[in-house]
Amino acid sequence: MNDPTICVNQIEFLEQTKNLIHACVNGDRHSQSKLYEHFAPKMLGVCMRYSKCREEAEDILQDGFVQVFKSLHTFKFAGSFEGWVRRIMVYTAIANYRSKLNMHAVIKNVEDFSAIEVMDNSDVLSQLGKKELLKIVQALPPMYRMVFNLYVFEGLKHREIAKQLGVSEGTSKSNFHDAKVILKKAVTNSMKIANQISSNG
Amino acid sequence: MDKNLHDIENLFRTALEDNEESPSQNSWDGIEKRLDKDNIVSIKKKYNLLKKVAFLLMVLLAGLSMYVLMNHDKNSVEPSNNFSEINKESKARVDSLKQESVTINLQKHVDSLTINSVKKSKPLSESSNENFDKVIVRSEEKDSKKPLNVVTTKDILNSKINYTKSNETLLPAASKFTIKKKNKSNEINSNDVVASSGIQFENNLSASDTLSLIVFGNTKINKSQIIIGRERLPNMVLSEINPLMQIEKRIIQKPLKSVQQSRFAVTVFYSPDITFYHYENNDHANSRNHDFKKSESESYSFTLGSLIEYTNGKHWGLQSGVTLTTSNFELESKIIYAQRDNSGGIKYKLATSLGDAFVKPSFSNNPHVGDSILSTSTFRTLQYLGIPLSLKYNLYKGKFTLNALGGVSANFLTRGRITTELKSGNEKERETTDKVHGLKQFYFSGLAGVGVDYNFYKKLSLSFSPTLRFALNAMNSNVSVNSFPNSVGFLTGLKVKL
Repeated sequence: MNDPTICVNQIEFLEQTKNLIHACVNGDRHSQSKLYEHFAPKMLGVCMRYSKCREEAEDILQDGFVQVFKSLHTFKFAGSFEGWVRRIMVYTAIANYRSKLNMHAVIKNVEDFSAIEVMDNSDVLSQLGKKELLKIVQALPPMYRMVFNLYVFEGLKHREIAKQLGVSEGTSKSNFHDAKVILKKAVTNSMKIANQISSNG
Repeated sequence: MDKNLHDIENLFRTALEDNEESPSQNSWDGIEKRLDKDNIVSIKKKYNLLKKVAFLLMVLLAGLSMYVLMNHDKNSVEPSNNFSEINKESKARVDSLKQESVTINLQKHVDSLTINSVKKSKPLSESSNENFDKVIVRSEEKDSKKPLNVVTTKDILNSKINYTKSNETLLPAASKFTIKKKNKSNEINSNDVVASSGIQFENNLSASDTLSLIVFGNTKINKSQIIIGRERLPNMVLSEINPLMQIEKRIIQKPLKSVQQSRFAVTVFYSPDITFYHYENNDHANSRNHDFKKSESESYSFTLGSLIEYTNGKHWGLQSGVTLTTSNFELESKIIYAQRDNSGGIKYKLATSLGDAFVKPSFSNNPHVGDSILSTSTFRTLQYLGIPLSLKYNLYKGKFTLNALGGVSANFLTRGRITTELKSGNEKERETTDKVHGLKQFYFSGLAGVGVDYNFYKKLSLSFSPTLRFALNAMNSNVSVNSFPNSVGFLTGLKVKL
């Protein structure tokens, strides 16, 4: 059963967000700042996954928020505002990726990691932590990183990903597979290092 | 292997789905700078467009004024050169007319027109009434041009007509007019034709024309009258005209278009204003409207602009145009305190009735929250571009036109500037900011006023119109005090009828 106080708080929060959005549409800088303060941490979390470093993520965040404030008048309050902002961030990340398409390094052949042993996810999380896993995602080649993010976190189909990134559906599938193989290898390596450190320590 | 890879998806989804990171402070600064830049670009674009429109309006206005003034010179008194020829032609034509006539003696007083008798009259048929249903009477006092008056032949035959003043003269289908002189025995001398205006006008008239006339009376007779009848009307209409030759000399032909009443007029004006504010508290716990009333005083305010008026019918008119209102206020010296502004930086906050401005002098680079500084003198300047729309009611009284108007105006902010002098110890610095937090980009105001126009020249008049402007909504938002600007302006301008 839902806690009634939580429901009331949610309603209040939604009402506050609505007022904040209206003020932002009118160009009120104070409200824009408040809106940014509220959503920036979550959105930077999204942007970090799509970029190779924090600086790039903050660039995407800035571009994304400028776009949010410019397009705010088009938001119809039909769905989740956070979801709307998040979509803008993702599209900004895609645009950023496509603008630097020529600068991306050629992807090396991915080795077969069939020998990788099966691990429990909870063990990995407890040993590596979120930051380490984020670093692993950021270390992926840009194309792999984009496909992996769009498939796993945004729930897009390979057909949609291919359309967004301007590649074939087959490329998207193959890149996704390769991304997972690389991630698995990286996780295994990181786990080994972590285990060595803990056994030495 | 597949299971491993599937697990890796879940691993990362679980770990990073709700991952949050704290952005650096520079991130918001960067966003704010870009928003400001976009705002400045859009304001520049907007005002470039307004500048172009204003320039176009000014060119149009100047062109129209020149056209009106030049045409006025061309159309001024210009005696008919071929008058003797006109007379000859008219004589021949009038000689051929039947001699039945309607004789009308006009009283020297303009206020009545009496028909004495109908000599050898063959009553006019209905059909002739249809064809010749109007006689035009013009009266004139010295140099003034009184409105033309219209009476119908039917009215004339019905003996007595009240002489009524009217602004309109309706002339039926293309026709010719003759003015004849009455001889000593009070009979029509058909050979003595003063003028045949039909010859002068036949090319200018059509069935749908509304026409002003043409024939001017004798200045020696204070209120002389000329009655003009249709040439095809078998009855010549006479008037007391004395002396004839002087009338002849003063017959003036006006082209049709130049004497039509124009419906448009343009006014260029300047208005010194007295501005006063009405405040509404948003923050009831911290009432500040009284403070603002005490600490802010007007230094000078004015409005200038150009208005165009369209008059529909006799009395009602619509007025619109472009106005530029500037108001300058002086603020008392006070101690202000450092606070965190919207961008997160720490600056000195100067609270005004319009909104808050944040300033930081170069000699106090890194103030801490709560630090104080003396603001010795502060000016705030507001400039709005207004687009008014008013309904106007005019009353004509000789050379004066009295009017009353009511309407609304949309006011767009073009400048909101605060300049303050900050002093700390021996150091002093003047700071200016164009960012007043809370000031809205536009607001609406209502207009109400009365005025008077003095027509000192045919197409030119001097206008004076005290006008009240009152805000319909607040000029600021998201601030502790909502401000509603009201003003009384003493509009003085030059009006050109187009």
